[in-house]
Amino acid sequence: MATLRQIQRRIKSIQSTAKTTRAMSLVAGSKMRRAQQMALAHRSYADQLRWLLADVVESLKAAESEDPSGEPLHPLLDQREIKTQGLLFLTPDRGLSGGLNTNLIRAAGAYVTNHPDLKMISVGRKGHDFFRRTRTEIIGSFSRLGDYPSYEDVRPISRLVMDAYTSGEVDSVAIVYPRFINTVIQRPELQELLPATPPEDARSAPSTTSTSQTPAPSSATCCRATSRSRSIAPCWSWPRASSPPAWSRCATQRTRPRRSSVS
Amino acid sequence: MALLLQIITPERVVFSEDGVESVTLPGSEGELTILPSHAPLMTELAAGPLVFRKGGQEIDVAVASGFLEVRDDKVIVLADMAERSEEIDAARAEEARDRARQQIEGGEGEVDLAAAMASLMRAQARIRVLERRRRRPGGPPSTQP
Repeated sequence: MATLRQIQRRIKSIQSTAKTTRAMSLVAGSKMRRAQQMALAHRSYADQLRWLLADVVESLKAAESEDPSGEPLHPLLDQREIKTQGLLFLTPDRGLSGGLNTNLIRAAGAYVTNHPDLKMISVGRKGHDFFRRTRTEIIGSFSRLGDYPSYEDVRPISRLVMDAYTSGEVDSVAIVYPRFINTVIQRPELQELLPATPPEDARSAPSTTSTSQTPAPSSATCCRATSRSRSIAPCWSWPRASSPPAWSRCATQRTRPRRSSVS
Repeated sequence: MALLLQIITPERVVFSEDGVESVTLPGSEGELTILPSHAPLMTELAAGPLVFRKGGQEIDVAVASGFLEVRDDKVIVLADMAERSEEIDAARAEEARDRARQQIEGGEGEVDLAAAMASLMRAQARIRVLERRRRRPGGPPSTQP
């Protein structure tokens, strides 16, 4: 039987724990907001660069067809027969983040099993640790970029990717990364980076709207993004025969009612 | 007729302005000015001052290395760095310039040299923007005492 004194002590102890955890949650909340802002702020640059690239590739293609030598005009546009795939894999350094790591690794794993001759460049410890155990060849590994990596911090990564491609170590490069939808959903996304090809949706979407300061994406914009990326065949080369990863099943379910209301 | 100007860095959208009358900016082959109805154009950017006119007012921005795309009266500047003149810290820019100069004269490894050159160019771009702003008659009030 607990005495009054014991109960009082327990009340005090719980109260002080509550204070500490409350402070921790405030700190985490502000860190989260900042990270979220950064994730969204990068997006307009990335989108805009994609349109720009589409324009460049379009005009270069025309120039190339007039050029009798058949030499590629730029090393990053060089389309070779694909023997070795490169995969740039972005993960967090640490865990305790819900299904984030599991989903990412499952998405990358599907890609890795479909491309036996694959070389990986990992960013973040979680991806590196997993694929080291599966004996996937890792040609570069980056970690400890901190919570708010700057543009300068990622330059070495892009340098390594471009060098691997131009030197012929890999014949194509894709990226798997978590796309921020909201604080509970980060959808793993697969995109072909090299050889540089124009995104097929590039001109259909007006580039001005994509750069207006992105508000927190509502579920409606998330659906649009989903259906758009689905329509681009090369961006989604999931194995058709095998069942899609669980996360994409959830995504489909979530978006289905909205999509039908749109059409 | 007016231009839509967007200045975007990897970190944020610095400007997204409609009704811009002209944009003068440092191309890799020299300075150029974009007026409404400009032919489609794409070029690399050098580090330096970008000036745009809107409503009779001139606004200075320091930009460093990136790309410019002009199409359908839209001017899109994708720069590694872009700062409005009022955001620039003169002391820090000068400090960065001196540090970069020292590094270049110190003659370290090749990668370091490239990085030092880039940061020197950025610092100089910032300083030039501040100088222009100080010289401009009737410009926005200087933040300098």
